[in-house]
Amino acid sequence: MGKSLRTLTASISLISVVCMSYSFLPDVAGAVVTPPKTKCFIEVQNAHISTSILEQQGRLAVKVNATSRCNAPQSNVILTVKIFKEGLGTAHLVAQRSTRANNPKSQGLVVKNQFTFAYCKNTTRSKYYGVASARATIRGKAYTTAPVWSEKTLELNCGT
Amino acid sequence: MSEIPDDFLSEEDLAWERTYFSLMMELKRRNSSRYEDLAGRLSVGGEEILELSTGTYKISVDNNGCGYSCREADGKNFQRLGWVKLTEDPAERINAITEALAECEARAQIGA
Repeated sequence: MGKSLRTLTASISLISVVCMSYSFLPDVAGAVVTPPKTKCFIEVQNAHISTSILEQQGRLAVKVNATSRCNAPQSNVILTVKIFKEGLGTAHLVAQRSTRANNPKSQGLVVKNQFTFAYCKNTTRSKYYGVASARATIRGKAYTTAPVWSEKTLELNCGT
Repeated sequence: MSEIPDDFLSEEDLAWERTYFSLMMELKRRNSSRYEDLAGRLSVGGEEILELSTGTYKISVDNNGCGYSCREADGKNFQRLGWVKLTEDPAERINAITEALAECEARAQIGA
């Protein structure tokens, strides 16, 4: 293969990747735009101590909830929530949960992930935040959203 | 107790949570022997397939964590549903894997 052909092949590959990213990723505000205009956004709650887990299991756990909302029906939604703990060095992942794509609750205008948590081992104060992202099919096209961070990193009485 | 309470969720969502988290506890209590045997085998690392009434699930353990997945509709691939970090302490690892097994089975039973 000549040098010019290799360069052309490399350029086409690069263009393909950029176009695919553009097609599948929403704009910076988290909205997915297609004709007709489809808008979706993810809301991520701040990390908190779950009252439901405390009531039902008698245990402390840090939890983050998230929703994916669209103005058009979503299907096969995989809404992933990750809980990160800040500490020495970089933050590290402590728990991750995703909605099941083929679940009936993973379809519609609003899809929730309300089961992402990590049990506390002790009451050592630690800082946590959540990050959510989603994959969904909307009007027959597959979309992936950019990750969305919870508004605040909060210190909780929860060592994990 | 919480920095932000569960007001993000509707009454229906909260009712679902109560059912889900209590089912997880109940399964852990009812199946403790089976879960602990499986967790003991997995704690050094590896995978196990669980054939549950609602589908096929896979539990995977490595040095860093324990994940569970369900077989997708295509019958070939697995979709990752959950992952928890594991420590190096053997007893803590087994306990965390046991909890992941109860969680996986609760999700299967409740359809989540």
